[in-house]
Order: sequence, then structure tokens, then C-alpha cells
Amino acid sequence: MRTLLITSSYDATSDLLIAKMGSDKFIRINFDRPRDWSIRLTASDINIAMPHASFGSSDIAKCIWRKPFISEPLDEPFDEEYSKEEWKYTLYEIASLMKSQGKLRMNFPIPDYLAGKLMQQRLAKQYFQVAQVELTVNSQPNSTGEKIAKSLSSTPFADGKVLYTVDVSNKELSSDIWFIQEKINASFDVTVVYLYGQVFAYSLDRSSLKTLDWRKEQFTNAMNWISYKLEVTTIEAIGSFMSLLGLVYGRLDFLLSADNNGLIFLEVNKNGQWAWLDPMFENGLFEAMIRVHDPDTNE
Amino acid sequence: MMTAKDFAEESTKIFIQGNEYSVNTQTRFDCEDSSTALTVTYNGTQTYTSQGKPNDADNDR
Repeated sequence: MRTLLITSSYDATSDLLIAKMGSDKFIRINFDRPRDWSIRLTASDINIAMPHASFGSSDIAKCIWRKPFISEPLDEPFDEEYSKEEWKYTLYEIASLMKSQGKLRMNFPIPDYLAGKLMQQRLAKQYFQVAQVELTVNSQPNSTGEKIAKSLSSTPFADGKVLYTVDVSNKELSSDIWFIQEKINASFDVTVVYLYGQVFAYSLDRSSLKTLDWRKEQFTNAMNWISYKLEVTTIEAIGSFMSLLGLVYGRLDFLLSADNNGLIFLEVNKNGQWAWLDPMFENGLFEAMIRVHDPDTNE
Repeated sequence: MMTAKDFAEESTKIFIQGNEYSVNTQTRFDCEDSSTALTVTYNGTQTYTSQGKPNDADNDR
């Protein structure tokens, strides 16, 4: 039996899993390499073949949607918008078929409008402290006091530049589109991987950071995420919150308030990256992920 | 008046030595070497890939 990975050939986490578990446990379909496999898909069955191998539905035990769209096909005609979108549609159909056969693990790709940042805040209020946020369109945002701005979609500008989390306190902002959040006086970033009821929590001391957004310094300032012990009540709250959102997997971001030492919920990334939190394969996260990806386990 | 673009910056990038993708091993990176595996793992911390695509955001559309 095999696990079908729907991803990109540049998805290094899939490389790690395959190197650890063996190539013979996987069928890897890469969005950027549509010529690797011949695929025949009907409403109820799939056949995936290459010259010396062929797999049908009965050979596939699990399917996991990884990161297919981080790179694009370069070969004709898949580099054209028409074929690219047809191919993208096909990948969703494959995931849908796998879901209907009870083989999909982790989350089905969930669009933002079904679990977006504001909806998350609305639901998270029941379980956690949350930061005050406001989304304004064609209306001048209130930047009085301590405020930060974030991108909703993380889409780059035309020149390739990106909007990291940035301090906009008391700045005069245009009446365009803004996602504004109150600035939290935080001593630690806390990130939590939730995986089918298990939680793996890590913290980062913000005193080592030079900027607001740790992601800007990740390759210049060696950062030390260390395991973090969550209160039992927080673990239970995370489980309830994820159930409410209908998520079996996610990476939740919190800040640990320097003022009252409480966790403040920021967001849950429904398909967040996780391998960097267990780079030496020693704190249990990678092992848990192996069990979920292994076609020969029931997890 | 400042726009969101006024605050935009170049995205952080990490360079990882990658080989041609192999359909036999179904991998691109040499993860058997522990130092490469460590670097490859940190590839997953990128918010944007080296091609400028959102990597860790909810980019499943």
C-alpha cells in the first residue's frame, strides 16, 4: 500500500518524509511536474502509472495534501493558464475522491473564506484571549496607539516585495485595504502543532529578535524554538477550538503576554509547515507525522 | 498617507543546494546528509519560497 502525496517537487518536507520512510511507501504527484505520471480519473476510481509502475485506488491507503502550488509547471502546454488551471482542478478532484474513500489525512484544502482570520478570531474568543483586529476597505484605519498591520493573503506585490507584520502605530495610513491588529507586548512567540488531538508546543524568546516579525530574521539570527509546556486547560481549549473549526491538523500561533503571562491567540494556519520545529527528529513531532503518513498504520 | 506598499520589503530567502528531481527516489534534496536535512527542514520556515510564492500561508487556493 502507498500514501499519495499531492505536492510540489520543491516541497522539502516531503523529501524528508520519503527519505526517512522509503520511496516505496509513496506516490508523489507534483503540480510542477505533470509529466511524471499518466493519470486516469473517473468519478469513482483512479489509475496512476509510469512506465514500470501502475497504481489503482486499491493500492492507495492514504492521501495527504501538502504544498502543490509553491512552484508551477514549466513544460508545454502546462505552462499555459488554461492547462495549469485544468491540472489544478484535477488535483482537487483527486483529493476529493480520496476523501470520499476515507483515505484523506490531515485537512482537505480549505479556502480562506471558510476559516479566515476574522472567523478564527470570532470562534477563538470562546477559548482564548484574542488580539483586537479590524479590516478596513476604502476607509481610513484607526492607527492611533500601538497598532500593527499584516497581510491577509500573503500575496507579494508586483515587484516581488511582501508585507511582513509591521508597526504602524500612529502612522497616517491610506484609505485602501488594511488588516490592523493591536500591538501586543509579548515576551515569547508560541506556536502549537495540533495533529489529531496531539499537541506539540514551542516557544521563542522575543528578546533575541531585532524586528517585530521573527520570519524576517530566521536565516540571519539563529533562532531557538524550544519545547513549551502548555496548561491542560489550554490543550483542552485548543482541541475544542479545532473541533469547532472542523480541523484535524493546524499550526496555531500565540503570543505570550509580557503583561499578564497569558497566551493570546493570533491565528491557525490550516496547512502550516511543521518540519522546522523538529529538525533533529528528537521531540516527537516528526515521529507523529511519520505515523500519520505511513500507509501501513491506521492513524 | 502611507500605503501598504510603502511598508513592503524584499522577502527573506534561503538557498538550498538542490539536485534534479528524481522520479525514482521521488525526491530532489539529499536528505541522507544530516546537515542538508537540517537546512532543508528550515526551508519550511520560509513565508515565501525562493520563487516568491507564499509558502507557509494558507496558499491552497
